[in-house]
Amino acid sequence: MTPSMLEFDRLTKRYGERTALRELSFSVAAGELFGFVGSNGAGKTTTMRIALGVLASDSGEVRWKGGAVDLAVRARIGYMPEERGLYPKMKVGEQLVYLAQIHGMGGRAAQSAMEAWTERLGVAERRGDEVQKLSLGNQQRVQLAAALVHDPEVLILDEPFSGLDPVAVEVMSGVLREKAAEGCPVVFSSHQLDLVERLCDRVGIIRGGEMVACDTVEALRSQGNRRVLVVAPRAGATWAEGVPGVTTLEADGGRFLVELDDSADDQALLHAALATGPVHEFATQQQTLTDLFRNVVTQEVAA
Amino acid sequence: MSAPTQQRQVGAAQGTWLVARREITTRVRSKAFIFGTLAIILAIGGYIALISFLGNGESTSRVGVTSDTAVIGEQLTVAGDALGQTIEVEDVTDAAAAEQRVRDGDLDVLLTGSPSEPVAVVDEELDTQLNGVLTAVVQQQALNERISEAGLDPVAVQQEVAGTTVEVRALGQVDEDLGQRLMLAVASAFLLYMAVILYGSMVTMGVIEEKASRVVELLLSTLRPWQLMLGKVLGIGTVGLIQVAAIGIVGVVAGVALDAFTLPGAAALTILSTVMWYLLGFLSFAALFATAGSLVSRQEDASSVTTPITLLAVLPFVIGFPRLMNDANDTVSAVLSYVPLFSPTLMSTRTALGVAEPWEIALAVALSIAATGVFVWVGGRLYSNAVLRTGSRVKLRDALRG
Repeated sequence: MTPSMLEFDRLTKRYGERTALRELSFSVAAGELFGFVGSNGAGKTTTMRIALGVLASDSGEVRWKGGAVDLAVRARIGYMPEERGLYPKMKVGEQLVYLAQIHGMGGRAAQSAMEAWTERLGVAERRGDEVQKLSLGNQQRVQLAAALVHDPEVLILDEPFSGLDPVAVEVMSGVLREKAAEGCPVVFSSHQLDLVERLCDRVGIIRGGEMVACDTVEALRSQGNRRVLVVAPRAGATWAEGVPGVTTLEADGGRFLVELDDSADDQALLHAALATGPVHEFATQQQTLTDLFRNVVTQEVAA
Repeated sequence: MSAPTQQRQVGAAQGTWLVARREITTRVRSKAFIFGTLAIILAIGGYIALISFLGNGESTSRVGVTSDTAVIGEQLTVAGDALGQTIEVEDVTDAAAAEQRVRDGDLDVLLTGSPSEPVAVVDEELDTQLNGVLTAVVQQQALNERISEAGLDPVAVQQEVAGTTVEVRALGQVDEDLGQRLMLAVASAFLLYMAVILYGSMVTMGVIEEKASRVVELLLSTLRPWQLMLGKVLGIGTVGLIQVAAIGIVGVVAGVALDAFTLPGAAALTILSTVMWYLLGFLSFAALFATAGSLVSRQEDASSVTTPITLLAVLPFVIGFPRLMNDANDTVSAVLSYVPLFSPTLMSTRTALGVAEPWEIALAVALSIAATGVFVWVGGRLYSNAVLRTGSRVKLRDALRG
């Protein structure tokens, strides 16, 4: 194991009768962008809060570079809580300087970091305004600045993209990539799966407090069954049933979506299709994270 | 890959100082604070000016006497002096014109009639004190007439009467400063009560603000809960002290300048103990208010948790004060004066009354400091445990258990 690694080791958390986290483990290497997805109430926020010491876990621990995350390490984490929080009546600039200082920055360094980040995130001209006077989108930018202003070594962001306009999403994505390139492990949760797919090196899917899938996007995609879209206008509804390992998912006129398990041979499928007449289209479909996610969540019902 | 983690965490004292400084700078610069303080200062200055103006107006009385009542006039000045009242007597010739001057307020009283049956002409009513002096003079007049009738010399009798006094043999020493000390103690107790109500609820509001705005989640990831608590209490305490001091200094300066009162120079030690008790009292109450704030998450719910504390602040006035005024050595008050939250009021009053032993004061101070520490610690614990339970009020037991 590389030493520069953020490890979540068998975290368990119960709220009364309900188990929010069950032996949840994963790790994020330095320089890695990790996307954390799951339905509401799956345990993402709980996991992040435990890492920041806002919540205590019942068992398990979070480690950074091999050592338990304590107050000294937390001062080096940039955190964006799910429920946004800033002093509503404090000025943007002063607030960011204060937050940098309580994370251990000197007054002058805090001031210049505040100036740099408000500039970068496009809220420089609002430094003198009270936070409550800003639009929600701008408050969100300030919130991100608050997570970055003390030059953190680790970033943990809960739903950083929610409520952002497309321009701000681009700015946020750029900043996250940049921090990862600097060598920070970056963990963030999001419901915008296309974004996670585009941005992340690795993705963790959590369900009912357990990690059900955790790998690179590529690996996750190859994990599932292949799907093929076949357009054969003269084919009957049951043309593919004779091919071993193939299931028809959708049939709409001449358009068919079929799923192939590991034993299935796509060439045999193509022959079967051609046997019905002309084939206009025969395309392997890339599974999106959304499909994967849907699969994982529907398994929940079965389980 | 990346550099080893630098030890850049804030120290315990530094963290508390940063929190306190934020409270001070954001509050002292707010319009509410500046205009509020100015308004109070103006009100106090105006009040003192009014009092001294009214007081000066009443200290001298102008009495007009006709030729018939001139005899009374002479005695009036003498009697007035003896009773500490300045009475200016003026001879008037024209009674009608003099009556007009009474109406105009130029003269307070016009004495007409005869020395044995004088009539006091006033605008609306006769001043009580002046009435007393007049009555005494008239009665003396009547007495003198009877003494003359009995064949004695009124002047000789009066001298003889005046020469008869009671010899006083005091068993104890007169405590000349008692009044002033007691006044200071009561004034500071009242000031403390006001400060507790005003700034205490400010502490509660501040704690709730952090919980309601959820900024607490950011703060708690790097600060210990007790640092937040203590910093808040010290910061708002300082703001309160600045305001009270500004008001106090303006009040004293205005008062001295307008001769409303004089500064008791001998009471320096009492002032020092008053300030000490004020600070101790404020800190222990503020810590309790902070704890209260950590139990609720909405400003609307604040009063439900602060009211019991406010009642605690009133209790010494209801239980202790009346008993102490009745009997300085009262046991119930003595016991209560050791109890934190009550001691700032009761022990300072007992000290002023001269019934508190040094060890009693030391014990009360120690207990008060210890209690403040406990409140800050418990408050911090409640705060961190209650942070994520927004919505309904957190039960004390649940919050403590975490």
